Amino acid sequence: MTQTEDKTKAKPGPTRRDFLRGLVGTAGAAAVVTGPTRKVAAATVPLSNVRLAPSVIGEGPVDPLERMRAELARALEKPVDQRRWVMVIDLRKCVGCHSCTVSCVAENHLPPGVVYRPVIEEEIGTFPNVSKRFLPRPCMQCEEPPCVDVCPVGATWQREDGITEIDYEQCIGCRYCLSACPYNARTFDRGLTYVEASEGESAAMVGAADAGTYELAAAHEYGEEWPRDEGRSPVGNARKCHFCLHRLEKGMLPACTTTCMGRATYFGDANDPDSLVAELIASPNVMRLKEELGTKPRVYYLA
Amino acid sequence: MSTTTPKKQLSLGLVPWLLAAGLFGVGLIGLVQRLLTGHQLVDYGSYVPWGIWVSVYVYLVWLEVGSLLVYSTIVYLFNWNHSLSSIKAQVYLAALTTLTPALLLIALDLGHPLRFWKTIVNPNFGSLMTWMVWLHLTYLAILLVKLYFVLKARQSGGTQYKSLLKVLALVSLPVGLALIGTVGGIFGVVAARPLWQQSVLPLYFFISALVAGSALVTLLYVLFGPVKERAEYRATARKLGMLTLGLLLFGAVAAAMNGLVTFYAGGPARVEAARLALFGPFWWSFWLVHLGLGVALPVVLLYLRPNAPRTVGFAAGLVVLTFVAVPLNVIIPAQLTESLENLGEAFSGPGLELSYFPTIEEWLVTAFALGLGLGLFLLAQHMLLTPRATTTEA
Amino acid sequence: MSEKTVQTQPRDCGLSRRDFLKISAAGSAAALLGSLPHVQDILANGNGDPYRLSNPENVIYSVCLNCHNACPTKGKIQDGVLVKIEGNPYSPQNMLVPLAEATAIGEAAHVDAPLCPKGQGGVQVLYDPYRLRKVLKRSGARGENKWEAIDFNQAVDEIVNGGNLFGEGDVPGLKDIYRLTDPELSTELKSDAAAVAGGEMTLQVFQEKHADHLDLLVDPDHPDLGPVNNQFVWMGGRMEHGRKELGKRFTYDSFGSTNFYLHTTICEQSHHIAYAMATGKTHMKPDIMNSEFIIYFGTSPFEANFGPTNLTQKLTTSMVENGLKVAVVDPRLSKTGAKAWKWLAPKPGTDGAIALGMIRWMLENERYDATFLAAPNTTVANACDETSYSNAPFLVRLDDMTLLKAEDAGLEVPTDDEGSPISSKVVMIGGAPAPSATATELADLFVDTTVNGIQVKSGLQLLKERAEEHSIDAYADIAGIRGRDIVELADEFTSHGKQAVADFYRGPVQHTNGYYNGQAIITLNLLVGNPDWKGGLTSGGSHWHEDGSKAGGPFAKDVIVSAPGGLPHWGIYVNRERATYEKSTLFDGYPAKRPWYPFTNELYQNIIPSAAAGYPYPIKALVIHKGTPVLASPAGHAMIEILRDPKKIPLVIGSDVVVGETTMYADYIIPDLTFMERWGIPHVSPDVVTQVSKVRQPMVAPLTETVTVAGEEMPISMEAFMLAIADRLKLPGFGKDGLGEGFDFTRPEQYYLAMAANLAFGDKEDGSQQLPAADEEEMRIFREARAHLPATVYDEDVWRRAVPAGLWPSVVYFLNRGVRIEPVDAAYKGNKMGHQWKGEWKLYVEDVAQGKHSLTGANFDGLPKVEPILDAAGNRVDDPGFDLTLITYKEVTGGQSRTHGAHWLNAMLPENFILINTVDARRLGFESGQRARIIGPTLPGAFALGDGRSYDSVGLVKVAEGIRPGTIAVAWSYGHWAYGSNDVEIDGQVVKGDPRRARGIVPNPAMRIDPVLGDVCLTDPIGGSASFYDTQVRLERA
Ligand SMILES: Nc1nc2c(c(=O)[nH]1)N[C@H]1C(S)=C(S)[C@@H](COP(=O)(O)OP(=O)(O)OC[C@H]3O[C@@H](n4cnc5c(=O)[nH]c(N)nc54)[C@H](O)[C@@H]3O)O[C@H]1N2
Ligand SMILES: Nc1nc2c(c(=O)[nH]1)N[C@H]1C(S)=C(S)[C@@H](COP(=O)(O)OP(=O)(O)OC[C@H]3O[C@@H](n4cnc5c(=O)[nH]c(N)nc54)[C@H](O)[C@@H]3O)O[C@H]1N2
Ligand code: SF4
Ligand code: SF4
Ligand code: SF4
Ligand code: SF4
Ligand code: SF4
Ligand SMILES: [Mo]
Repeated sequence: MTQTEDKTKAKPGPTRRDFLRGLVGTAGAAAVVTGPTRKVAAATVPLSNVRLAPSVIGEGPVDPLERMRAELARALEKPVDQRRWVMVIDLRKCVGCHSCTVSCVAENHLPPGVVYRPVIEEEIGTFPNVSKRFLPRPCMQCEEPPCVDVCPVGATWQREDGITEIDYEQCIGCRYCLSACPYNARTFDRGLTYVEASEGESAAMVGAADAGTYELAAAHEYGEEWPRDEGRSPVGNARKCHFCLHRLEKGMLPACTTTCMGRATYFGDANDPDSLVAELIASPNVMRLKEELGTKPRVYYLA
Repeated sequence: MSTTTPKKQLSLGLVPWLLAAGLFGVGLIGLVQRLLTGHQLVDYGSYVPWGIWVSVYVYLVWLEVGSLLVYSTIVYLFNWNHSLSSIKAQVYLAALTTLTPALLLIALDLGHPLRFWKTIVNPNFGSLMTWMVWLHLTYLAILLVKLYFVLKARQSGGTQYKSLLKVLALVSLPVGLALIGTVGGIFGVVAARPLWQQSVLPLYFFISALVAGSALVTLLYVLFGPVKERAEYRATARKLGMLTLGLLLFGAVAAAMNGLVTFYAGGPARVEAARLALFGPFWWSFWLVHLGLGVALPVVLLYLRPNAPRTVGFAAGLVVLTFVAVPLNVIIPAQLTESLENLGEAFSGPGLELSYFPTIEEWLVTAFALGLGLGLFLLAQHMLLTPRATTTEA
Repeated sequence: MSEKTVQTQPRDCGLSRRDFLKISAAGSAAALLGSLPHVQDILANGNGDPYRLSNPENVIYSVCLNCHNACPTKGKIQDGVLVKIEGNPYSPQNMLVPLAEATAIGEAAHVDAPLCPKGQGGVQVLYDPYRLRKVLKRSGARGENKWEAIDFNQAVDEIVNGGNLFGEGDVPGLKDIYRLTDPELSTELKSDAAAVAGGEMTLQVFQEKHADHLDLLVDPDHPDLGPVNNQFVWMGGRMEHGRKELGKRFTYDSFGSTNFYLHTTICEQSHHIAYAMATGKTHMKPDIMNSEFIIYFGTSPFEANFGPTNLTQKLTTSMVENGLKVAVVDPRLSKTGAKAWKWLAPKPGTDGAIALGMIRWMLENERYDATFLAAPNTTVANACDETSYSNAPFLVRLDDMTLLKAEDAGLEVPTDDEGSPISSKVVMIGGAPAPSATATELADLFVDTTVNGIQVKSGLQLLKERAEEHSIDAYADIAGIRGRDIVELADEFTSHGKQAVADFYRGPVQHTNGYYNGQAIITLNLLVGNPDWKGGLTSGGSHWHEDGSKAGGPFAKDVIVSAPGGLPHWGIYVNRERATYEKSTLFDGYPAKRPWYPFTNELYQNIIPSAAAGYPYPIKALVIHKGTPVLASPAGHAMIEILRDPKKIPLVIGSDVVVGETTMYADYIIPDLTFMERWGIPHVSPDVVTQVSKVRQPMVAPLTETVTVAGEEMPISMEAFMLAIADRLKLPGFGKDGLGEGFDFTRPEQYYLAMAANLAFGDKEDGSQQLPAADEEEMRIFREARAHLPATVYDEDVWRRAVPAGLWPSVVYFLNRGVRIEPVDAAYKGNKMGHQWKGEWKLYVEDVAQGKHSLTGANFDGLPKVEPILDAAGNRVDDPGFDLTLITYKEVTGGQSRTHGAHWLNAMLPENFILINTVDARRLGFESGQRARIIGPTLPGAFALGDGRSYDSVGLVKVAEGIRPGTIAVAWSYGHWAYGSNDVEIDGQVVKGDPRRARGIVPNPAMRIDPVLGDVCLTDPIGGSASFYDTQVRLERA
């Protein structure tokens, strides 16, 4: 179903932030108070049901993805302002497969021209001493995000868990934030679809109309349903990686993290000293992109 | 020196009307396209978020604010009052009619034009863009009030609102200045774009507005000034020509200095962006349109024939027209450098290219907006001002 | 020398042994939680659920087929639409440590596993606007791309009955080919024909005896060619298990034709053949998680191989966490090469020289596992802590190059417990000959002597002599690298004990010398004795047996693999694979008219040319299914001419999802279902070290037209086509009781559910491996997850009735997980693999040594050797004036030629390019971004496609450092001229193509046509591989 009617959106900007803090801080109560908006969904995760690591340790090895999922559940038990989501990307493991890029596109129903996590390739050296470097680039979820301040309508702001969110219904599509992001992490949804450029039409073939249903199906960003339709958000909006907030709220890791076949992508709560990401960002080979700009990215790279 | 003495009001005949109608008519196709297909047929997008519409917007703001700035300054602060006040209405009208296409273009550039009101209702005053909107609207209000009283004064033939107008003019000065500065600041604060991020950028916008504005005032004066008072007319035209020449030279020197600093001391990304501005795909717009037609030729003309109002007018007209290349050259190339090397090849799609050239739709919509602006001016001039075209103030 | 240096010091067999192992599980040392309750059950079914895709009701597990790796997948379905494909978290192919099988499916719904990008692009392969819904019949000349959409059943009738179908004269129908229908008669003819071929019966006697039935033979003068039925040929491209068994069952058993083929020789067949000749297994892989050093020859596990999803995560984890070192030998810098400790860029086709150089160094420096090599049989090997042994010490007679037999050595032939003789070869032990089978000690390794008057050498001795034919520098010269590169590689390879593996795939083998290159590389593994060792070479965890080959299962092999009441299939294969020229009645001295291929099968590229040449015989009907020989084979475009001429092959039927590059030359195209809408039971890559079976099942409603086949409604598909033909011709194995007593075969799913039932039952006769029964909750989820499927593909009653009553809940349990797996702790037994190969490794391949080249009559070699690029007649191929060697490779985002409609994937690389080294580019004056035309010795320029268009091999130039100078590389998957890229006319109406799908260049037409044969590419005479990397070309500005 679509939720256009339900979109009783909180005011953007600080108000909304406060709203969120209030809600997520007091999980149980919020459910009663505010009806079926996404904030509530996030807050009503029956966190007490999540049995955490030490109590259910199994024998033998566990996949790092499962470890991180357990840590995610643990983090969801805490109030939102005590979580600090970070992503760690081990460049030694990244093989430039673009699985993460595609997974993100599919997860968020990204249309042509919109990409949240491109992987940049570079050839280094001269024959025969040559190498290639691969650099996945999600949104850095900057601690000091230049994209936020520039927004004339406060449609984008930083959550307390560190994710910079965009309110699609508030965003006027001025693209100032695109200009302001030093990482080109924001892209503009021009309202295209992949299938429409195929003109083929015959009763003997599937045809663009039937083939295109998957592109029109609602995306789930920010825990709401976003069916694709002309002139309707997120068409006309700035879009970017949101650390798959809608999945986090369901206790699931971001799509690029689970799909990463190089196992180069890690995700978790840096405030949890026992988390894998906390361990990793303590490595000596850690770095962040364009540190000199003072944006303080929450995406760390291991080189 | 000109040998023929103008006998009557300079007239370009039907040419401006045809031009306006042509731009409007052809441009309408683009407008319809834009309304029907949204942003599907444009070339700006993600890596080059702002294209010709934003650039032309900046140009129009320069004209709009610059002309009034120059006019108010010379009239009220330097008291070149006498013959200049005859074109007061035209100047205000010109400012207003440049503002219309400016706002139209910026609205069409938005992903959700109908949400424009949110900038008023949910403003984020941490953003210069919010300030720009608010300043622009304030400016618009002042302008409307001014125009109202100017017209009223014309109707009554009297001079009763003089002091009020002066006050308004003096109030509009800082607002205009702030607007220009803010528009410059919008770009100037963007650390992500090395060519923009310079504290001097607002200053440049200011100088540019003055150059464009003085050229526009000069042009308006040559077109609508008191031809009958030959000596006065010629002298004022000369003065305006000289003012424009001076500002033009000042601007050119300042820009050149800044360019040198950029090339010698700028970081690689900034140098690359500057290189793109000068030698990139838009080299011709810089060298031929801006430097050639917009600076060199007018400078030569103004220097050689300062006493020929037609030549002065022509030179001023050239500056006005070609100045559109300046914001294009500031805004576009800065966006053509990669924030991260090879990003442009990582994922391809519309709007993800590190290149930009306006599509037909973008040109058409621009044409529509300019045609609309020109048409409005001509209409207003025709309907509101023509009957009194020959009257002059004492 | 480090502790792990491989050396010849014999080990203390059976006593203390060095600990080779550094054990590190799955990269995460910490013990973690084993299961996480599914946190969302409470919200799961709520209205306005913000993320329905985490509910098990929105999930169906299946298996990918965007490449042959067949990764288990998890389809996420939203309002009946497949919106996303993830990896299956229960699968050891997707996870480093899979979820335990018992994990609740509600919880698993919250776990997504890794998957390669192509697999995710499946959504766009499914929802492809150019996919066919209805049967197309050509309304113009062949290849003219003019079609009419016709009724499925009408098409089947026309195909079965033949007649004047196209206004071009009579076309034989399948009924005219399905002639020999009596199994007994067929069996008799088969054995008598064999007798004629074997010289035990004269032709005259045969013809007299079978005078009444001679018309049932392709050629009564050559009865060994088989029955007329053989003139029906099924040419399958990618058919995985499930469909593969069905395809063979249909062609062989039901139709009685021996001509069923897959495409493996344009894939990597010489790799399979080299392995099979040495080990009996076609494919082995390193145990990556525990290897310390791996050399990848001509393969990129990060981009291709088998396959990126599973290989990549193990490699990167092992490299970063466990210190695994990797070397890559590839003329092009692959993504794997980019991460490697060492990248060597040899001249294409010279891997054999590198491996032989390494072998020479290893033998000279005594860096081989002498103990392993000296074990003459399993008993001794086991005593030395080995699972396997090799024939390295076996003696080879120099007179006929056979292995010396015990009886010929004058030894007493050993006997088993019951006293019957054991065929045994001979080894030397302390200088005395002994039967290999019963020897109890380690044998002598290097032997050069005379036994019983026969001059013999041990296999290892022969290898040493072979390796010594060139100096290391000379080998390096051949390969265009430095001698010290070879030494470094060999040194490193022998510094990790048994945790070093040499892996390879297409690069070394898709050459005319492919088999030898492969054999040389394989031998490296033999010398360090790594098979079955943890961190060594493994044959993988394998799978349970869906084919009924295990006793006690619900469906036996003779209903699954063969058709009850079916026909024998026999006769010489139309492509002369698995056939010995000398043993056929067509033998007529050397050279043979066209080459015969005694050692290979699934020989693809020469099927159509052979049929057209009528050697060994012409064919009448050809089905081209899920393969595009014209596009995918080197110089495949040469087949266009043949296919366009209906006189050459009168009836061509395409089974395709679109109008493809090859099916555009068909008479009919039968739409097929994509892998997301259908069934399959694919097998697993040996890289996965625990056992796993998987099931591909429909995830969403089919997009092809619904038709009625013998009273049953179903979507058009390959299976529907087979069922319809079987119905018309009354073929055995279909219809009532087609799958055995009480089990009809009237619908596609019945066949696959029978296989699924076998898997749910397990491999143990006593039923002890039967999967648990799905409980009520699982049953509910099973139904709800399929609520969007129409009855034409999912009807619970039909499904339930397709399997034995008690098994249904276990089958559901299996379908609910998409895989059945064993626990991860089954992976290892001490220092060995849990699943072991335990075989005899043939260093010396006697069979191949005994085989003859059918054009020269010369014997092949039983050992690896350096061989230049040769044509069919054994002459060196040299094309002066063509200064660049063309190679090809796979992008990680390209799935063969099948994914160019998947725009998500193409966004990364909308157009491929001609990769050229800076040095060559400078020399030739090319810059990145320019366009160039590839001119080959047999491709002077554009060629005609037959519909008025022509194809010109022009592509974008990309100048780079990561490619060997003198070589250019062009990625596969681009350069389509059909497949939705072009306009086609259907029912008089033009359907516009999508220009995005035409972008890029396909290098295959530029590859060389064999100068002797003139209609097919160069081919490896042993392994059968088509040559992809041997053509000299030049570039022209375009
Ligand atoms: N992305 C992707 N992966 C796939 C598939 C797919 O379609 N796409 N298909 C699957 C299938 S069917 C197969 S067969 C496998 C194939 O798996 P691979 O064999 O790994 O894949 P290719 O890219 O064909 O490998 C050819 C490699 O050999 C190199 N090469 C060329 N000539 C030579 C040579 O003479 N010597 C050496 N040493 N190297 C050479 C090429 O540069 C290239 O890197 O991939 C499987 N996985
Ligand atoms: N240049 C170059 N050429 C290569 C390779 C390379 O690396 N480089 N790789 C080679 C290798 S390893 C292989 S395995 C071969 C593969 O070659 P093929 O076996 O020919 O496989 P595809 O190229 O994928 O062609 C499959 C065709 O089947 C049709 N098809 C797709 N999906 C379906 C389906 O679900 N059902 C049916 N009935 N039809 C379908 C499509 O029309 C498609 O054209 O290509 C080889 N060719
Ligand atoms: S990376 Fe860009 S979009 Fe993301 S938070 Fe930082 S500035 Fe904003
Ligand atoms: S595009 Fe949207 S989010 Fe970005 S600055 Fe403009 S209004 Fe804000
Ligand atoms: S976290 Fe989610 S939104 Fe961000 S890049 Fe990864 S998949 Fe895309
Ligand atoms: S999926 Fe992982 S390995 Fe592949 S490109 Fe993305 S980060 Fe790198
Ligand atoms: S590796 Fe092959 S089978 Fe596995 S997901 Fe990728 S394309 Fe599919
Ligand atoms: Mo293949």
